[in-house]
Amino acid sequence: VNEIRIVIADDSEPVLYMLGELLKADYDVVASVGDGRAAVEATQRLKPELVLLDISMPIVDGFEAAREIKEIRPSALVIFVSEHREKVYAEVAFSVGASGYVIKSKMITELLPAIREALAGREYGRPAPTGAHLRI
Amino acid sequence: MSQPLDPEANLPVPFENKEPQVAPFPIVGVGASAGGLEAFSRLLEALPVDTGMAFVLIQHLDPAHKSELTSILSKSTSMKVSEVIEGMAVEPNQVYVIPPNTTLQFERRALHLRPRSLNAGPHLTIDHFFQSLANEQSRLSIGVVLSGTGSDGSEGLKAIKSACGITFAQDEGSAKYPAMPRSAAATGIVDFVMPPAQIAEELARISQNRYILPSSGRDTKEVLPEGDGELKEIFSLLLRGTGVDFSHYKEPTIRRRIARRMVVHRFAELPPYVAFLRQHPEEVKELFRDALINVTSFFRDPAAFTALVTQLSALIQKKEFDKNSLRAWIPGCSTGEEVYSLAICVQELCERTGIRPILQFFGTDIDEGALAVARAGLCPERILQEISSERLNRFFTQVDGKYQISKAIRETCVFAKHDVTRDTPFSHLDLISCRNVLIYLDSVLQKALFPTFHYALNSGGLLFLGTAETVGSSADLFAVSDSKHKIFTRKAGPPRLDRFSTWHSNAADTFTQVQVATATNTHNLGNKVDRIIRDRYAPDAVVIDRDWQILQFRGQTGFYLEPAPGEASYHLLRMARGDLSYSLRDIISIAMQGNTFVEMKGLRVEQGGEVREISIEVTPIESDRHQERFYLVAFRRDVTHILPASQQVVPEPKTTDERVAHLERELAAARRYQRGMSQEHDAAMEELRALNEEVRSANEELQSSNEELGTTKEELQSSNEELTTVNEELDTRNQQLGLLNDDLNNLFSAVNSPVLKVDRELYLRRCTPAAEKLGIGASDLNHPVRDLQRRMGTLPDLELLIRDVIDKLAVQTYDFQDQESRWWSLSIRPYRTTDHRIDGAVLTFTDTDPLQRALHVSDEARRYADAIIETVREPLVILNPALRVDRANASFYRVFRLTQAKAEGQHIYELGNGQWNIPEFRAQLEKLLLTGTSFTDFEVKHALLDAGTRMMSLNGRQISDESKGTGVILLAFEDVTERRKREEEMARQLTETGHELDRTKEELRALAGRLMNAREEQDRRVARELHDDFGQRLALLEITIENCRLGPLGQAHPEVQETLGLLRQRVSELSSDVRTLSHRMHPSVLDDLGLVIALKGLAEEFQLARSAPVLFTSKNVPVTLPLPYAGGVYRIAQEALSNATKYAPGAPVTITLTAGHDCLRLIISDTGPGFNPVSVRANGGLGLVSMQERAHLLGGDLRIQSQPRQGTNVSLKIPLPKPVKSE
Repeated sequence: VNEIRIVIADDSEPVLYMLGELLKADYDVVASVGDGRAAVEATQRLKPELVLLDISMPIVDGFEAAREIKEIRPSALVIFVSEHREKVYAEVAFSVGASGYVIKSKMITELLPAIREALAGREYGRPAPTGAHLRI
Repeated sequence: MSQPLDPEANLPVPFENKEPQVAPFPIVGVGASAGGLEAFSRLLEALPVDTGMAFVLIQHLDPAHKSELTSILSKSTSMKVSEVIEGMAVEPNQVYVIPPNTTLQFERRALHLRPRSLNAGPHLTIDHFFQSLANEQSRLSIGVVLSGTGSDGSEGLKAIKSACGITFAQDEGSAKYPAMPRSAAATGIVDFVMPPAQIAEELARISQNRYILPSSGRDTKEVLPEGDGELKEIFSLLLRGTGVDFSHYKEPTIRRRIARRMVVHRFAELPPYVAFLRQHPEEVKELFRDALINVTSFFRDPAAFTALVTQLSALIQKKEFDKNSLRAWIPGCSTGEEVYSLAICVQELCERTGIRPILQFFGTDIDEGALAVARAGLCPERILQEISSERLNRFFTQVDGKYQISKAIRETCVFAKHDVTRDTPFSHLDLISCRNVLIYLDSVLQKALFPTFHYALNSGGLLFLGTAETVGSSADLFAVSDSKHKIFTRKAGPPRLDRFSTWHSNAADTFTQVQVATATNTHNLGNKVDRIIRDRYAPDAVVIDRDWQILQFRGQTGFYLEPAPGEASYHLLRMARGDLSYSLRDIISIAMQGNTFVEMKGLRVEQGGEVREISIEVTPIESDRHQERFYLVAFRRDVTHILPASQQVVPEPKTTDERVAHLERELAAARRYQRGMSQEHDAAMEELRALNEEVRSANEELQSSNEELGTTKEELQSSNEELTTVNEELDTRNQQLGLLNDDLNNLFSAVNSPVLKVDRELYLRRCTPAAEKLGIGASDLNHPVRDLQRRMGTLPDLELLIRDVIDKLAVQTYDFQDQESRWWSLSIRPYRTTDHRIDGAVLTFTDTDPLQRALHVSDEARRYADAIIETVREPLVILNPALRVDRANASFYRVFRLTQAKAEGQHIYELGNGQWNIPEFRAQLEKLLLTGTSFTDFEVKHALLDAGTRMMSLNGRQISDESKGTGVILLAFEDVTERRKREEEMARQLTETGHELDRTKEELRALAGRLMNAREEQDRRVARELHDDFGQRLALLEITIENCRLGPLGQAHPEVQETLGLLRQRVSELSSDVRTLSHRMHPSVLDDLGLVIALKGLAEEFQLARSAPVLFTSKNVPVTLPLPYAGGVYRIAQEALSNATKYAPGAPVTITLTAGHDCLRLIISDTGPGFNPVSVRANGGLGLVSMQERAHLLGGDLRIQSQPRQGTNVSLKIPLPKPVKSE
């Protein structure tokens, strides 16, 4: 009844399937798309509460998609699920408005807690600041 | 009575002036002339250096020469010796020396120099200084006269002595020239006569005496001997010894004199000195003389003299009685200058007015010594300063270096010993000059003197006093005539001598005798007769004035007059006895009214039983002042009316004829005898008279002989002086000659060349020691010069050559070789004497052997050089400094088609039709001339006549001549035309090859770039594949396994679950490896997030690997950059960071990425220890080469600056690519 609706975007079918399987017990996955553009369009159309984004996607990458989603539906929470383990990816992800960042291979144990945290208004997976000397 | 200077008048009291207060100290003036240097030295050597005195040396010096005295005397004493400069202050324990040609004086505590006057008179510098010293220093002046001729210093010593100073003279035994100290000693005022060393001792002793220097340094008060009792005793000793009572003299003056004598005799206290005085009567005399020391001078205070002459003039013109005489008395005349001054003034006055009275000037003093000087009338040379030359010529004659008052003046002056305070005064005087005497007498004596003067002067007579003196309380006796110059006129009135009862008759007698001895004896005889007549025959009389006051009593007037009872009165009528007053009133009244002589006869006067019949005569007396009139009232006794004839000689009453006859016979006999005697007496008188005449004439002759002798003596003296001078000059000349001889000898031995002197007869007279070089020595002296011929080697006939020079008077020079083949240059010149006579010749030999040999060497060198020049193939030309051709070699002539005749002497620019007149070439040559350097390979195009244009290379060099600074220029020519052509061809080929190489290199590089890009692309693709595909799949596999492990299957079978866990672990590891591989091949972040993020990631990555921070900063960098471009930059940064990590693991690193207008700049720097990029690159390490290569591919520039210990700075600058949208 009061289900959280989620759009998931990944250019890999198996991953989308895996994500669907992980989420279906607790959440309502309203759309599974294969690129960033589709994720933005789905968000605009379906107005989900949460969007899970991969970073490396065709047409529009995850970061660009997240920027546009936050623009058209600022209330939508974004969590990145990516295979990139470099810290800069996570930082960029939070800088474009993400609420969580989950390494893809650890999604089974970390995705659901990340979603819970995000829904509770907190962040998940923000890398610890490495120091004031790193500036852009 | 003398007139000492008042020592108090000018004591050197420093508090009087404004200068700093310095306790006065004695200043010793030391004067000397010839022989002074030795005396000075001995004096200074014996002097202690701390006497507290200053010494001023006055030496007669040659005005034309600089004095060395100061430096010579400095060796004799350790006191500071300095030559006086104008205004120099005097300080104790120092010695001052007069400079030449100056007069020195001491004024206001300083030494002052004046140029010596130019007049011909003697320069009495010592006198002059001593006098100024006495004026300034008074009792603290000390004068010393040392060796010398003449008499300079004597007057100066007098001045010092009279100022209470102390005087010294060198003794005759030790003085080289004793005249000057002898003259000083002869004045009798010198305290010590001794050798210089003793003078020094005495000075040292005096400096310790408390009367000279007070014991406390700052106390400037004079110390005088105390003790009234002793003083009284001294006065009584003086009175006994000299007859002069000093007790009324001013006491400080006397005490000062006593102190001075005590200094001389080394007494510190008064009682021992008094004892000494008692035992030594001669010291009493000395003290007496010292006490009376004075300095008088001619015409002292000239203005006063002028005023006096005016007064005297009026006096002479007005004189009524005795117009024929003028009498003046000068008490205290000392050595007579005042007397003579007056005499001269009056003489001048008489000549001017035409009135010629008999002049009499009486000079008196208590000092017989002074009087003797006065009588002689001899004055020292110093009077030249006091007396005008006109007076000097008229009233003085020069005698024996001194000046004597002319006889005419001397004869009017009489000098006698006389104590004005005790002896009977002179009378009937017209003038008394008593200047500067009273100031030495106390008021008691002063008061007593004025009545004496009043008595002595005629009415209207003048009294002439000193400027500081006045008649004081005796103004009733004298009226002021000239207050400024202290001239007074005697007032009329009876003398008031009642207070003076102690006149000594003997003094007056002495004077009378002296008077008789002068030419005025007849006049005085008349006076005597007058006096007798007056005493014996004159009537008793009184003189009254208009007020009936009796002014004078004459004879015995007691019979007619008596003092009236009551108040004492000289009124005639009150004093008249009995009825006489009536008669007197009548008769005198008549006389007064008529102003005529009135006589009244037949008056009877009775007194004490005696009756006299008298007549009274009243005679008016005109005074020279017309308003005053006096009356002589005479009481004449009528002899016949004498009643008691007791005083008459009455013959015996009882006489006989026999007795009468007898007496008459006796009388007759007596008369005869008397007549005979009288005749004899007459004859004797006659004879005496004749004898007297003879004696007188003999005397005159003697006198003239004496004068002649005097003149002769003077001449002798001057000759003697001249001889001394000549002798001294000769001495000097002798010394100079000795010096010259020494100079000559030294010069001769110093001359290193043989020099021979040959006389007219051609005999060798002198030769230098260096003549030994030619084998000529002392043994050849005085031998004919032809004996030397053998030693002259190649020189032809020496004798002939010398003769030739002597005849022609021309200097000749010859070169020759001696026996040992040494070269000599002989110069023969005539020997000229100072009177231009030719007296032989001087032969100077100069050793020219080295010179000749050097010439030979230089000749050889020249030949050598010539040979080289001629042998060289290249054209050579030698230019002189004026750039004219000096010479050239054959090659030069050949190449440039010139002949020697055409070329030599030509200017280089004119050579060959001016073809070398090229501006660049000129510049080169001028530079060469200016700097003296050389130039090489200067190329000039040159057109040769037959070979066309050739390229010539020139080498120029200045062969500098050290002595002249410039030298000849050597120019060498080389034809480089062919060589140039070959070189140009080679250069062209080289360039072409180089270009080709560059092109190939560029192609290679492009290829390498492409290769690298291709590889990068390949890597990227593989990496993508690995990451996106394999990685993804592995991740999925991992998830699947995990799902399975946690799924029902795993839960059902624990062993399956365990295996699945292990499997998942393996897959995870594999996934990580794949990711790492992918990342290493190509960082996906560069594709995904751009260069900035990638570099940031890189920085973080490295930060984790090292302990120090890595700071990254970027600015304006575009997000989208072409991948190869970003990749290149990334790889360079990666390389630089790994270097930094390797070489500076602990140092912070900063990465700065900045995009500018059209370029991107990457700077990576660390503060680590740094490295040497060159050596590192040479070892092929660190990927520096690949960094460079990448930078090059990007069209950029990479710089690596690193130095050990200064950190590393990698700086990349590449152009920004044209904006291309990636992907």
